[in-house]
Amino acid sequence: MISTDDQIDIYISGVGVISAAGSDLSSALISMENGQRCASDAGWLKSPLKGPFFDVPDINVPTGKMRTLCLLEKALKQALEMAALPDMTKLRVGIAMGTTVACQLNDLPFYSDYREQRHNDLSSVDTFLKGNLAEAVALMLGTHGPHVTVVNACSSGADAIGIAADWLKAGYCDVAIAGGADELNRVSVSGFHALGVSSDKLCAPFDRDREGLNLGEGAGVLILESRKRLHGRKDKPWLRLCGYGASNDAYHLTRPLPEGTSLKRSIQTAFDQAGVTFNDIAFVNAHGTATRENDKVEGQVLLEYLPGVPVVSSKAYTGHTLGAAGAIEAVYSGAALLSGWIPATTGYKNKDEEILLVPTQEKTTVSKAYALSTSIAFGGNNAALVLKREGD
Amino acid sequence: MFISGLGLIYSKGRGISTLISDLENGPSEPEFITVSMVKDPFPVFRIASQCLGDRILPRAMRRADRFSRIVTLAALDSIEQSGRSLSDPSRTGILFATSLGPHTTSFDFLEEILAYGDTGSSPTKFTHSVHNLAVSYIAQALHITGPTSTIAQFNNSFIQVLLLAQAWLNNGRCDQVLVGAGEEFGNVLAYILSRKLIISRMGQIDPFENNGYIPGEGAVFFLLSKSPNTDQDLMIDVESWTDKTDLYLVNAEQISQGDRDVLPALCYAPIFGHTFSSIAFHAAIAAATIQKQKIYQGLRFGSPAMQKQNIVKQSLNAIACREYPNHDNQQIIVRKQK
Repeated sequence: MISTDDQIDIYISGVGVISAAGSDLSSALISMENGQRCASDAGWLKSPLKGPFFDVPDINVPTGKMRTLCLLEKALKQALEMAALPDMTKLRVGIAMGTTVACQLNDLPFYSDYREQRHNDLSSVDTFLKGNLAEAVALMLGTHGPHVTVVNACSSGADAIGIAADWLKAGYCDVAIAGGADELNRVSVSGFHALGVSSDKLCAPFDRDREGLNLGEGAGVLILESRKRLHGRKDKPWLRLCGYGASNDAYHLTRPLPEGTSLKRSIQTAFDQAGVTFNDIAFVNAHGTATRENDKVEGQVLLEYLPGVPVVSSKAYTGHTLGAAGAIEAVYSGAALLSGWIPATTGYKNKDEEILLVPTQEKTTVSKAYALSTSIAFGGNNAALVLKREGD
Repeated sequence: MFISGLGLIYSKGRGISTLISDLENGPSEPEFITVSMVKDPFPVFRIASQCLGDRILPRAMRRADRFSRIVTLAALDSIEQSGRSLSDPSRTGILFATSLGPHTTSFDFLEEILAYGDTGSSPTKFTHSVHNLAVSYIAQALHITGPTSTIAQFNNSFIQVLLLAQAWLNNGRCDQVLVGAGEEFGNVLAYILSRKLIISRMGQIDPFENNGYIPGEGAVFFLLSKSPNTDQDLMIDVESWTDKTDLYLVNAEQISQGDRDVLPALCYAPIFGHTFSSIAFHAAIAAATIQKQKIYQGLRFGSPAMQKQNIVKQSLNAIACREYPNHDNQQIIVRKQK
């Protein structure tokens, strides 16, 4: 059992997000409210695979900087402005960032030169070395405190947030900056194509005829603090992170455990830490990738474990942003709790009799105070986050 | 945190007894290999392929990449060394730190794209290029269903996973945590290193003389718990820098000038080579040193201060392991139970 201590409840004092759905939270909410899906063929990627992709085409990527880091900086700036933290150099600041692409030297021009026995200026290696997310953010902000770049594939962002909360509860830091970022990259596009899990149509989470995921890119950042730290700076803390559960399937490298046992345990751990049951949950922002296997297992688990609770997959609007997904979805979940609605899972049309779960088909009002966000990853990782709207 | 088990693999073999034997015998020569676009033979402390063969691995690992094999073997050995099976795999976590992860497979996957096109690449290669796959193999081999996380960064990564393990044990997320670090070697990395660093072409590391870099590879895993199984279990923790410890194990090439001259410090890079995970190897050596009550102090291991002091202790109770540069001035301390 995870210890719960009300003295160290974790509050979310700022959020930032960028994805194909919008370059900030308010623009993303407008897209989702209107059921607008901003996918493209990402011509800039120069891949023969034409998507659809949920890219962020207008992001400025200077020479010598990793695209993933540029996306992260956008979300980070928004989150820090919202949190209005005092001088961070005087605080112990934890930094936990999830990613998949930014931890690999996925530079085809560099490798092409190497295999052709041409010396290269190694600028891409320098870019990679400077692009480690947690190290780059700590350097950029001049902060001291625990810092990790979490690379748990598609649960990286959610796990990073959970790790940051554990740090705060352990007293390792005063403030934590947590989230995830990932870029659309020709290498991962080729890899997901090779696995046969990407679709050449717009994704349809939980739909009977779903054919796979659409890759996306983006970043999500949360600023986490204790109530004590917030006192006097923000009178009404508006969101809390109150539960995190993590587990491993110990089953297969890429396929989820068919019974979903470990996913259920992650959810239960997060519920236990939050002190809630499924009856308290307003909605679930599911991992909902639109792959055959993920949606089948996750859909069945959610239907069994949270009967009657509305389920949405915001990947319908963002695509699968890999290491950023859990963080982006945590931000959207918090916003949905505050605004009182969740969007339609656009793309869904027909019930899958194997799953029976029907996600939201229209903008849906939600009133309860808690939300659950789930993440499922290669490597068997499962993560669950519980957020709460304060003031209830 | 209490050390219930310790497993490691490096160029000379596996296990704490191999390491102790190596420490007794002193440094040996690295292997010299040919690397594309590198003029001279390239020295490396590399694990022999037969040490990573199918027969010694769980059956499900036949398609596993080199990195996963290295990492999983160290983790399995830590359980074996503990002398007991995991009491509750659902209450066991895994935390693993690396800098570059399975980079040989990542480059192999780029090779596939360039050779066969974006639509002709191998799904197996892509899968194994994902950084947390090694931990997935460990989880499958040991049926561990507790929380697992892989951390990838260049500085202080092993300290970070130890800190997190401490939090997980204290907050009840786990009863035990397998905490490790590991790196693999590959030819593309060798090419990059040859362009970025001074390589010790003579095949000798003199750590405090900065005579050049020789990459190593390997992994170290500690099985940690909040309570000891026996009163002989050593402890491992992260704490702020202190000058109260008699002996320091450091990555000497990066050490500050001040510390180099005054710290009674040893560096065992001549045994296992240079990696981003050096501090994990040093923590394993610290455990061996305390268990054997013997400081392995070859001339090529010691700082100027250490060589002058020639410390002979009545009793070795605690050893600090430091990594430079250090984000928060934190060190790992391995010690006997108080």
